[in-house]
Parts: sequence; structure tokens; C-alpha cells
Amino acid sequence: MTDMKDKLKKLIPTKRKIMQLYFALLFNANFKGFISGNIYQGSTKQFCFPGINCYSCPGAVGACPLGSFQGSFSADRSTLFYVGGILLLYSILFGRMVCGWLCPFGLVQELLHKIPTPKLRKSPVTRVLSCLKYVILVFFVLIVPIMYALRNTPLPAFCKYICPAGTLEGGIGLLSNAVNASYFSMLGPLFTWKFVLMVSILVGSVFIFRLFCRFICPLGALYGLFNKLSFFGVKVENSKCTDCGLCLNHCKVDIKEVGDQECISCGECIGICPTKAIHWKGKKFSGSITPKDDGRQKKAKLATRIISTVLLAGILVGAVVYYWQQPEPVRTTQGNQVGQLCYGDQLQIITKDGIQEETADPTQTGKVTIINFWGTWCTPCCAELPFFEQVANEYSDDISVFAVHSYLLAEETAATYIAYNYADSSLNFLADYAIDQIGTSGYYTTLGGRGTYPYTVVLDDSGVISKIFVSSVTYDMLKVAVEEAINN
Amino acid sequence: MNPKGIKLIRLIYGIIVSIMTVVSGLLLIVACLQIYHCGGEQIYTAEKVAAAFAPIAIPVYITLALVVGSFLLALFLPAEKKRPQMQKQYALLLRKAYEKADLQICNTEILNKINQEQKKRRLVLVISLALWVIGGIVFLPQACNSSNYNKELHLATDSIVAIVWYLLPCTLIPTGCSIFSAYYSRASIRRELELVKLAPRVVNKTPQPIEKLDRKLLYIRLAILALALGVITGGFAAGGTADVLAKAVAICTECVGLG
Repeated sequence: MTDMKDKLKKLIPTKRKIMQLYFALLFNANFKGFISGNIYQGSTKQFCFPGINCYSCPGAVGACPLGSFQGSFSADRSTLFYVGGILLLYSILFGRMVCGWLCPFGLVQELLHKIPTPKLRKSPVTRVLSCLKYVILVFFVLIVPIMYALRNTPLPAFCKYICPAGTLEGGIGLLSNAVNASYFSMLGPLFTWKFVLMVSILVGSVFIFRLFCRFICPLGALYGLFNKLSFFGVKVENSKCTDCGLCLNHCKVDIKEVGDQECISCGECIGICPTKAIHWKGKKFSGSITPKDDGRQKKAKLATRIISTVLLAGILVGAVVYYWQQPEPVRTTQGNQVGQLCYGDQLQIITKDGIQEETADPTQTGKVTIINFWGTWCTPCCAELPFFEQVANEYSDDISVFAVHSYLLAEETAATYIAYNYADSSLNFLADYAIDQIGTSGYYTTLGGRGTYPYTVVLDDSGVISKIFVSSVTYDMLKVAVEEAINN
Repeated sequence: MNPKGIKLIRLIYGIIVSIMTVVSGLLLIVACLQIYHCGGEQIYTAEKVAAAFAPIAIPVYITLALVVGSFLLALFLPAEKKRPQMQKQYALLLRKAYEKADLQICNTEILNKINQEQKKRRLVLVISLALWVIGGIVFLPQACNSSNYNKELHLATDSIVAIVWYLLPCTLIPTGCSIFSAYYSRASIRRELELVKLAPRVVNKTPQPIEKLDRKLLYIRLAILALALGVITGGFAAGGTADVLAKAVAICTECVGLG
């Protein structure tokens, strides 16, 4: 019996694992999203959480700092300050402790590494490969987004081409819900590449400890630069260190010394050190305020543990309940299928002052109407706008084209973008404020929009939907759709 | 069951799980590539995905069952608590050896050999660092040249792929050299360690200086913290959260790799 108890005790997760799981749940507390297949659209998403957690995950309740950082280059300058400041704050407070304790994708990799298979240990090769994440940071997170931001268009290169967390949480997370079956129509080469990359990284993580964090993650690279300066983390007291090398031998990541840029501050070396030379930063301070008496110290520790456990559990339960009660975006069944009639009150946008304003009704204008939903933050949206303009110019007598901006909280960025790129355009730029208000049936939702961008609807001159594009379009695709609508 | 038997069972089980994990991963990749290569007007549909993934369900389920089984194995046939395999940390041993060695009264021949070893090591390190610098010098002007990025946004991927092809040799060559340098350094440190051990021992070891609180470090930390808070406040006050929220509440399909 005691033997069995010992075995069971070994299976109990460590404090760090519990904290990793806790933060993974807290950052993805919108459990309703996993059921409904919708992403959370509330105000907490304006805050960036420290770890890599895709904001397109149905459960995510905050923004990804890396995605926001790449997007901030092409947005208003205040956004760059805000996101850059947050990254700096997390870096100076925690360094790479975020990787070891807070990152949900780190937890996924560690759990995969638990599968009992032969493991590839660290070596000089892995040590050198760990430098690759800096190359990825410089090229995919800084250079490419900045180069495109100089043209006033966003391109989050890391999210788009590499991030396996985005594919797993955002891509697979959305696709695995039957409600989002229509998303399959937009999958193509990019998804194939990202799926292959994601599976490779996840399978690799079974054999190599934290493969993504050690060799690829640019966020870890950034935090690592501040590891020695950060307020929290592990530290070696040189006067006690005997250079026995036990800590380096025990550590699974490519550190040269405890607390360097590769150290994820998991704290496992603290218990290993025979001379107790390794401790948490700030330990001296906490030690001075703890009562010296052994009995009292134990009681104080127990009380602290109970209070912190209750507090943390309360926060998590509160968050889950709060997000569960949040309203879901309205989904209409009207006007979201090809062949359905769609006119009059369904083609109304809500202005900034809350007034319902009718846009061009095909039955009144007698023209084919194209309605494109776009956003300045959305690369494919910006990429396809010239095609709409080209089509609008070519068929100016037969069609009217509306470009409806997605989210007007960022109206300054949108206004700057339109003024810069489409000052004398034949496109009709609109903004539907109903998109800002969850629970209202705006233009976008009425026409079957499900939170994805870009989204385009083609109505023929009798107001019947002749084509819906749930992803990017090319000039040829638009031309065919327009000609079909005109000829019908 | 005796420990040897448990060890053998765990080893065989581990190998089977490894093979099944790799096979499952490969099957997932192959199924995805198969759908992609079949093409059609609409590359992926729920039906196509279901048809392609159905045949691989059995191996994937077996892998999952094996993973679950491994936890039961850990419960009923736990691994023997093995002593960590101590890999020699030659850099640390060398540091220790230098503390103990008195090089001032050391044989000149040994000193010369130590110097030679250090010089060679430094040279290899400098070469690998130089290759990184050269790689950077060659690559960065290309990467930062706006004409290399296609003006048509829908062709952005092509231009980025072209630059990545340029990036590969600029990264892989220095990486290869660094790997060689790392192995060479390890061997060189080992040789140097043997030489330092030949040197006579220090009689009186000087005590290590007591660590003092680094006030400079604290000031730097506080300055960065203040800067971060200031920048966040400024950005927040100027409405910097709007763009973050705008992007976070909608799904940019291409940005999460959907296409």
C-alpha cells in the first residue's frame, strides 16, 4: 500500500507544471468559444499576455505579444509604444521565466516530452542551433514587418509563415469545430506548409526538450536578452558555488551557466545544488521578513500557501464564469448563402452616431454590388484591395464596390491608410460600427460574416447573393464572379 | 519483477512508442500533402480531409493508446531511479584547475603548449564569429532593400521566400562553422586541462571575495522598469490599445496560417 502511494506521489505534477497549466487555462478562459467555435471579442483582448498564445484561439481572452508587436509597426505609433512597452515590462520583470512558468505552448511541448521515448540530449550542436532563434527574431519579427510597414501595410511574417502555436490554437482550434466547416474552403498552400511545420515541431518535441523554445521562438530570444537583468528568475551565489557542474548537467536547455540567456528559470537546479548556491532572485528579501522560529515559519508558509491557492483558484473560476456570461456575436442565417435574396434593411450600416444608413441596394441602383470586408491589420485584405479597385474601374457602369472597414476603434489607422493609398479611389469606403458591438446584427454578420477576414459578398442586380469569398481573392476570381453576376 | 526485466520492458516500450510517434507524424504530414497535391478548385474540403485522415486513424489511435499506456507503465513498472549521467563540464574543470595551479613556477614548455592551445581555440572562435558577421553583412543589405520586396502584396510570399533562400547560406555556413568550433573548443579545453594539471599546485589559496550587492544592476533594472511603464502609459493614453484590440477580436485568416 505504501509502495503504491509512493508511486502515485511520483505522478503528482510539480508546482511548476501546476502553474503552467493554471496560466494556460487562465489565458484561454473563454471555454464557451471552444463549444461555439467563435473567438472572444471583448475588451480584455487589448491586453497582451506574456507567453505565446494565439489570439485567434477560440479560448484566448488576451492578445499575443508577438503578433501585436509585428502588427504595431504598421499601426499608429502609440500602438508600437504600448506593445513595445509591454514586451519590455515582461522582459525586465520575468526574463525567460515566462517560458518556464507562463507560456502555454511551452507546456504543450513539455507534456509531449513526457512521453517515454529515447531522448536527444543537449550537445554543442543544440547549443549552436539555439542561436537560430535570434536570426528568426531579426528577420521574421523585425525586418519583414518593418519593410512592409514602410508601405503602410502589415505583414506579421512570423505568425504567417512559422508560428506553430497559431496553427495549433488558431487554425486547428477553429477548424476542429463543425460550425466552422466553411473555413476549409480557404485552406491552401500556406496551411499545408504550416501544418507540416507544426506536426514536425510537435513530433520533434517528443524527442527534443522544448524544441520550439530553444531553437525557434523569437519571444524567448527577446526575453533571454534580459534574463540576467530581470527582477525574477534564478541566480547563482558565486561565493558558495564550487563549480561542480551538477546544475549544468541536470539542465535540459543549452545553458552555459545558470541564469544566462538560454535559462528558462524552471528552478529545477535549485534542489540539485549540493551547496545551495542557486536560489530565486529576491530570496534574501523574503528570507529577512520570514520569522526565524521553525514552528512559526512552517505555519507562515502553510498560511501563505493556502491563501495563494484560494486566491489563484478564485481568479480562475471568476475568469471562467465571467467569460462564460459574455454575449456571443450574433449569427444570422439570412443572407449568408449563395442564391439568397438580400436587400433593403439587410444592407444597412450603423454609423458612428448609431444611425442606420442604407448602402447601395442593388434592386434600386440596378447594379451588381460587391461588398468587401477588410481591416488595415489584415495583410490579405490590404493585398486584395487593388483588385477591387481595378474591377471597379473596369466595370464602372455595371457595378458598385464597397470596402467596409472591420473595426472602427482603430479608425485613425484606417483613415491614414485610406488617405495614403486610396485618396482618389473609385472604391466606396465605409465603416460599420455595428461590428464593434457584440450582440448587434450589423452589416457584416447579416451577410454571414463569422469573424474571419477578408470576406467578400457579390450581389447581382436583383439583390441575390451570387458569390461569397471566405478568404483572399485574386483579380481573375473577382472578374469571373462579376461577369457571372452581370450575365445572370 | 527484477530491475533488469523492468528496464528491458521499458526500453522496448519506449522504442515502440518512438516508432509509432514518428509514423503517426509522418502519416499526418503525408495525408495533408496528399490532399494538397490532389488540388482541384477547392483544395481542402471537410469531406476530402475526412477521407484522407480516416485511414490513418488506427495508427494514430494506437499511438495515443501507447502514450496512455506509458503512464500506466510508469505506475506499475516504475523506472529505477538512476543516477544522472554526469557529463564532464570541461570548462568548469579547467577553471577549477587554474585556481589550483601555480603557473608562475610552471615549466615553460607546458606554458607554451597552453598558450598555443588557447591561441588555436581563439582563432577557430574568431573565424566562426567572423563568418556570422560576414553572413550578416551579406544578408542585411538584401533584407533591408525595399526593392527586393514585391510591391504587389499578394506576391509578398514569393519575395520573402527568395530572401529566405538568400538567408539560408548566410546562416547555415556560420552555423556549421560554429558547430565545428564548439566541438573543437571542447577537445581543446580537454587538452588544456591535462596540461594545467601538470602544473605545480598553489600552496596558499586566496579566499574568494564576498559578493556585494550590485547597486548598479539595481539602478539599471529600475531605469528599464520605469521606461517600460512610461512607454506603456504613453501608448495607452494615446489610444495604442485600439489597434491591438482590432487585430485580436477578428481572425486574419492568412495571419494564423489558414490561407
